[in-house]
Amino acid sequence: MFKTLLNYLGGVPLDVVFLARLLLLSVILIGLWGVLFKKNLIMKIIAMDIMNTGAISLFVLSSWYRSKAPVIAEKGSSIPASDPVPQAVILTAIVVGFSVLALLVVYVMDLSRYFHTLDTDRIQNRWKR
Amino acid sequence: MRIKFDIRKAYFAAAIVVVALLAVIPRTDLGREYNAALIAAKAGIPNTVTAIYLKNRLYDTMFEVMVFSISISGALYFLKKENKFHLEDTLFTDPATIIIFRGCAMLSFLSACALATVGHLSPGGGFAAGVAFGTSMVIQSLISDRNHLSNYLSMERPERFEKSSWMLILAISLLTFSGIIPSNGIWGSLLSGGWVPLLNILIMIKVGLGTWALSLGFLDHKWIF
Amino acid sequence: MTGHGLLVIGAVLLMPVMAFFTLREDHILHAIIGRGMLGIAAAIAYALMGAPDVAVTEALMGAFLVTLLYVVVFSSGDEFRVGYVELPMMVSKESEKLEGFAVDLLTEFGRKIKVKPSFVPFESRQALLDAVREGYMDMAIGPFVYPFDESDNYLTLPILETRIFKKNGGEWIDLLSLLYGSENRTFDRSSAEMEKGFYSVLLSEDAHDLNDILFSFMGDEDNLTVPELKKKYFGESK
Repeated sequence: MFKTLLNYLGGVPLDVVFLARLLLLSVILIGLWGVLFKKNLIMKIIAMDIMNTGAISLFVLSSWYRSKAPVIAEKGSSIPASDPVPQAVILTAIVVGFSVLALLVVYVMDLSRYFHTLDTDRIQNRWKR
Repeated sequence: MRIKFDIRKAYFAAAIVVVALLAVIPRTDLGREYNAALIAAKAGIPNTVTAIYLKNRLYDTMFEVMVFSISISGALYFLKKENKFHLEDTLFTDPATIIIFRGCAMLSFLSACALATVGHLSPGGGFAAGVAFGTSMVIQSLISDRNHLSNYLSMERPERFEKSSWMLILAISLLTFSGIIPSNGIWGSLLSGGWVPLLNILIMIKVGLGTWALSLGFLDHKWIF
Repeated sequence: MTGHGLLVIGAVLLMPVMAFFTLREDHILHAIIGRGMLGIAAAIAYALMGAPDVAVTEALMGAFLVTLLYVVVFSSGDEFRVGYVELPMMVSKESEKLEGFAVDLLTEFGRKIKVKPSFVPFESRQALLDAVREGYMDMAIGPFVYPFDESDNYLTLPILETRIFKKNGGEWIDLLSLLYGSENRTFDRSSAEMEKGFYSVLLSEDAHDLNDILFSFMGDEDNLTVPELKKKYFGESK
């Protein structure tokens, strides 16, 4: 019953890729829960980092084909390999994502130095004054 | 405070709905089995991932490196404005830790050089090499005596070459766009594939110096509320 | 599901588990270690999926550099600030180490709730009172007594009883300042009348959770800290 419902929804086959995609989307959801509901500012940063990792993993998952690395041994051979385009795109994004998160860490340090706390409730109270 | 809590829960519920919809998107196979071989044959490099982000999508890589340098310089601007607390002379003093850290730093530096120079022949590439280089310098900064080696490990060294290496990357990218590319050499040798090996080394220098400067900025700046 | 698919599912299954347990931690350092574990699990998953470039970059960056940097940056994240004005036997700084009754009390309290106190010196009482009112300091110790220093801007928590000498003009001085303090030796003891008071810790109003824990710590009947410290510093009398 469940399978027919899902097949009706979009013709999605229930295999390993579907299960992996569900797990990685749940990583993003856990990160979002951390950003919204955690009071400590540093935990919010770590939760944002977790969301970043989840998004990167989704890219790599979309390039998965028979677990063969996209490195061609000889010129002209045509062994089916993983898709190199998402991997190339996300390779630069890992490093750049870290640097943007480092900038966020510096902002949080400045903010906590001004308010002398790391708690968002206290910062909200002191902001009103 | 009551109203804000409801908005957060509603936001999270909407996110769950969106994620559930994303999970059932049908996957379309685009005939991807033969892409990799064609890219490798055209570029003359075995590693197709490097061929894509250093030849086919060079425009994208150029601007990603620009975003990287802008965010690093922004973070350094805020880190240098505050009053600095001088770190203690060494962070770790017992000799066993010093030896282990020095060994790790040497291994990291060697792997950075290996990843950068053969990045077009086997998996690796400029970005991984830059990160490894930055890490080895961070480990060196953690164990050395800052007062004695202040000219070696101060912030001047990364900052002097950081912007000029990005200018070099820009120059070589412009050369690639206007078509002046050295010819693809022998398949699989060290100097094959046009500007790609040089770009790998330049990206390693850029990313490595950037992470080194950022880490030095964090280490110098003791965080007291 | 073939064998290789099972391996990939196993590696990918680790990632939400690591993410969940990372965000349930209270201490910041535990969460940073959890972030490193998530990075390693992601690198294993990428390597099994046939993306070696991305796996090397993620392992080097997400598990090595990020953990190292965050541990160095965030290692001093959880502490509460205590300002002090020097008062001998209560909080004094001789021989470069801070010692005193209140110092030991707060250190013991910090050890119980696993948050370290950091002590900041102040020059005058008024500056410290302003700092506590603004929330710049979480607590204040020193020559502050219970009936006279009470105000609406901060809470007081009595910790030790003492005698207060009060003059008719409103000026008062407490016992330890009279005995040991150097600048108040000119206080005329004859025309003053003696009252009972308490040395107390002034608490800023913003630190709600800290205040509740401190109140319950002091009001606990099984707590032997205060009598022990009293015995250590003041002898059996008083």
